Amino acid sequence: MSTLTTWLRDPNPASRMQSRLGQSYLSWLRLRRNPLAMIGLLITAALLFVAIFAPLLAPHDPITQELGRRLLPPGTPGNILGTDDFGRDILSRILYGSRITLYIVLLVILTAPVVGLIIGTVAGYFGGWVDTILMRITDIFLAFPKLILALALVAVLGPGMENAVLAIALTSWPPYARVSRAETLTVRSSDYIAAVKLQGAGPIRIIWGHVIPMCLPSVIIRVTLDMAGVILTAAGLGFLGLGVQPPLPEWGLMISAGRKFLFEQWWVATMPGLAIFIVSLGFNLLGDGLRDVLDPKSASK
Amino acid sequence: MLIEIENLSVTFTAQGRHVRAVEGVSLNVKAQESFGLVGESGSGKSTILRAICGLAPISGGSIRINGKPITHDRAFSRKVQMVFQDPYASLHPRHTIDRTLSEPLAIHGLPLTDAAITKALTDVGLPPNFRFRYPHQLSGGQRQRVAIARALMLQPEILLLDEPTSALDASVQAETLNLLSRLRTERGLTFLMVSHDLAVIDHMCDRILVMQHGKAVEELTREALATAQMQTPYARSLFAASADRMLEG
Amino acid sequence: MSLLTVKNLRVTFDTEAGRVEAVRGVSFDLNRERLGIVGESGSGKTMTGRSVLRLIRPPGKIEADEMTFDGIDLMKASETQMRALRGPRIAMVMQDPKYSLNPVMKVGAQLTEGLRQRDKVSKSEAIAKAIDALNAVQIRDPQRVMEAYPHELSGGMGQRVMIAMMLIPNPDLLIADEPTSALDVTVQAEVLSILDNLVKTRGMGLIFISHDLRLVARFCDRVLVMYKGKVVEELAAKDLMHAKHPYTQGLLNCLPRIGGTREALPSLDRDASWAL
Repeated sequence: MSTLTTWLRDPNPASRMQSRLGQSYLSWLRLRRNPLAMIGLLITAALLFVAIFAPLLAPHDPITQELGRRLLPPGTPGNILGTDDFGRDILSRILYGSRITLYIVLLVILTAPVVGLIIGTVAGYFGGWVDTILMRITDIFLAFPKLILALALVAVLGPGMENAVLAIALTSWPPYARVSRAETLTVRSSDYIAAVKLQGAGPIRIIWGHVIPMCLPSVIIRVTLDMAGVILTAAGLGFLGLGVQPPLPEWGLMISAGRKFLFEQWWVATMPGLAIFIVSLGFNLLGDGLRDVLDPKSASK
Repeated sequence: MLIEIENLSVTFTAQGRHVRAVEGVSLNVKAQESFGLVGESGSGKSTILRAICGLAPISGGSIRINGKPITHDRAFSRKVQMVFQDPYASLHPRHTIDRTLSEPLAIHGLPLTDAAITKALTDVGLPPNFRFRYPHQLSGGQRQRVAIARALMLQPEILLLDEPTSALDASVQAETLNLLSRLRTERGLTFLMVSHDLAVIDHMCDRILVMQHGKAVEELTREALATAQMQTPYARSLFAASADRMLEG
Repeated sequence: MSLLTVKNLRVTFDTEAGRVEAVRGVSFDLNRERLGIVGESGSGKTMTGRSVLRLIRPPGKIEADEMTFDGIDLMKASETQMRALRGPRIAMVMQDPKYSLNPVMKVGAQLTEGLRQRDKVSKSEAIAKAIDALNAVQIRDPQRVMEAYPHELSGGMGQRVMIAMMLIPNPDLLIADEPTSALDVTVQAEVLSILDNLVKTRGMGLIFISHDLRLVARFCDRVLVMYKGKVVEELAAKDLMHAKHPYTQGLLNCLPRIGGTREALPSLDRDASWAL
C-alpha cells in the first residue's frame, strides 16, 4: 500500500498514466476530508451495489402478485417494508427499482451533458452569429418548465422508459450549454489558447483538447447536482403514468400506486419516496463535495 | 529586412466604441537582430506583437515577413512563435508538460518521439523527469522555460517575447534572460521583445523603439540609451525614472 | 518602546502534501520608520506582513514568542479586538487595487463608509475628510474620482485611492505589500513619494514589502532580507548595495544594468546553508 501511495505521490511521474493517477489521488485525498461528500459517495456506491446485486438481495420477485398478502404493514416477517396492493414485497420492488433509476440516470448522463457541452463550447468559442443562434435555441428550451416540456414530449412520443429518458435528456441539456458557454468565454481569451492558436491548431482541436477539459469540472459538478432533479423528473413522469409502465417497479410509479391508500397504508407510498429522497440527497452531497475538489478556481494553485 | 511593419494601426471595437491601441507605428527588424519595444502600460507595445500573431485586429498599415504580407496559416506558425508574459496563464492547467510540448508537433503532423520532448526539455535547462508534471507542480521560472521550449518546438526563426520575465523573481529573470540569449546565438533567432524595464531591454536588444499612447516616440540604438542620448522628452523621462537601473547604481 | 515588536514569528500550513513552513522564526522591531522586507516569491515576506494583522487563513497557523503592537499583545487579542485594530490602527495596501476595491460601489461611498459606520461621522464631514485624503495622495480632481467606479480609474489612480482609503482613519502602522509593482515606473515614483511624505508628516510606521531591492534601497530606512522563511540579513537601506550576505549580493548582481555588458548575467547559486 505504501509503495502504491509513494508511486502516486511521485513528483516526477514516468508516464502520462502515473501523472494522471497521481492527480486523481490528490483529488481523492481532498474529497476524503469532506465528511458530507463521503456520505454522498457512500449512498451513490450503495445505489450501484444494490442495482447490480438486486436479484441476490431481494427476498421476493418484484412482479409476482400474491393477493393473499395484500397491504401488509412494515415489519411483517418476510416483508420488512410491507407489501403493496397486489401483495408484492415493497423492499424487493425498491431494490429492483434502483436498476431502473440507475438506468435512467446513466442514459441522461451520457446524453444531456454531452450535447450541452458541445453546444455551449462551440457557441462560446466562435461567438458572433453562431453564438446567437445556438444560445437562442437554448433559451427557447429554457423558457419552458422542464416537467411540462418533458410531458409534452412524452405525449408526442408515447409513454415508456426510453421515451422518458429522451424527454428528460432533451429538456435538461440547456443548463449545461449555459455553464460551458460561460466557462468557454473566460477560457477563450486566455494565453494558453492564444499559444495553441499560434501553433496553427484548428477550432476542433482547440475546443476538444483545450476548451472542453476546462469546462468539464463545472459540468460534472452540475451533473451530480442535477441528478436528484433527473430522478425526480423520472419519478414524476412515472407518477403521471407517462414514464415506465406497470408492472415494472419504478419508484415514481410506486408512489403513484400508493397514493390511493396514503392515509390507511402510508408505507406503500412512503417507502419508495424515502428511496428517492435518500438517493437524491446522496447525489447532492457528492456534487457539493466535488465542487470543492474539481473547481478550477480552488484547485491547482 | 526580416520583419517590416509599416504604418500599423490596431483598433479594438467594444460596444460600439473604437479604441485605437496602436496608431501608425513603423519598424524594421533585420534577420538575427534583437529589437526591443519599450513603454508603459497602455502604450500598445504588446498589441503590436499580438497583431503580428493575428490576435489583434489590424485596422491599417501592413506587416511583412521576408517581404511577403503575413498570412496566419500553418507555415506562419513554423516561422513565428511567441512567449507570453505570465507563465501561470500561458500553460494549459490540465495538460502535462509532455502534452503541451507534443501538441505543436501533433498539429503539424511532425514525428512525435520521446527523444524530441526530452531534448526540448534539456535545451531549456529542465530535467527530463519533469516531462509528466502538471504546470502547477512547477515554479514560475520553470513554467516560463516550458513556454520557451514550446515556442521552439516548431523551430521558428522569429520569437516574439511579451514581457517574458516581468512576472519572475530577479534571480530567475537573470537565468531566463541568459537562456534566451543562449538560444538566440545557438539557433540564430530573431527577437522582437516587449518590456517595461529599460535595463532588461538594454541587456537583450540592439535597437529600441520607445512607445507612448499607441504611437512610436523615438527609436534608439543601444549606445544611445547607455549614454542617455535621447531626443524626446518622454524617452528622457522614462530613462530618468529608471535611473536606479544604471550600471553605476 | 517600539511600535511593533515581533519575536520568533512562525507561520505553518498543514496541507495534503505535508507541512509547509512559510515563515520560520522572524524577529524584528519597528518604530515610526520605513522598514523594507525584500525577498523572492516564496520567501515568506507577504506572510510576515499578513501575520501582523493575523490575516492568515486556515490551514495556516501563526505562532510567535511575542507580537506586540503599541502595548497590545497581538497573539492574545480576540478577533473583535483585531477587527478594531485592522484599519484604524494598522492598515494594509495590497499589490493590485483591482482586487481591493469593491467594483460595484463608487469610490466616494467606499471612502466614507468606514467613517460613517465606525466613527459615526456626519455625511458632509465624511465627504470632506475623504476629499482631504484624496488631496493628500495628490489626486487632482477629487470630486470626479469620488463619483467614479473603480474600473474607471487607471492602475496608478486606483492604488492612490487605496492608499487614501487606508489613511483616512490615521493609522499608526501601514503595511504595504508590493504597492507599486503593478504600476508603471513613472507612476511608481509618484506613489512612493506620496507614501514617503505621509510617513514623514504623520509619523507613521511603514512596513514596505517588495521583491525589488533597488526600490527598497532607495525608499526605506532599514531592510530585512528574507530567504525561505528566514531573515538572512538586516541592514540599513543605504548599505544595501554593500550587503554582506551572499544571497543579497547575488540578488543585486543578477540584475541587468543599462549600459552593462552583454555577457551572461551572474546566476544566483543558492547555498543550502542559507536556509538553515
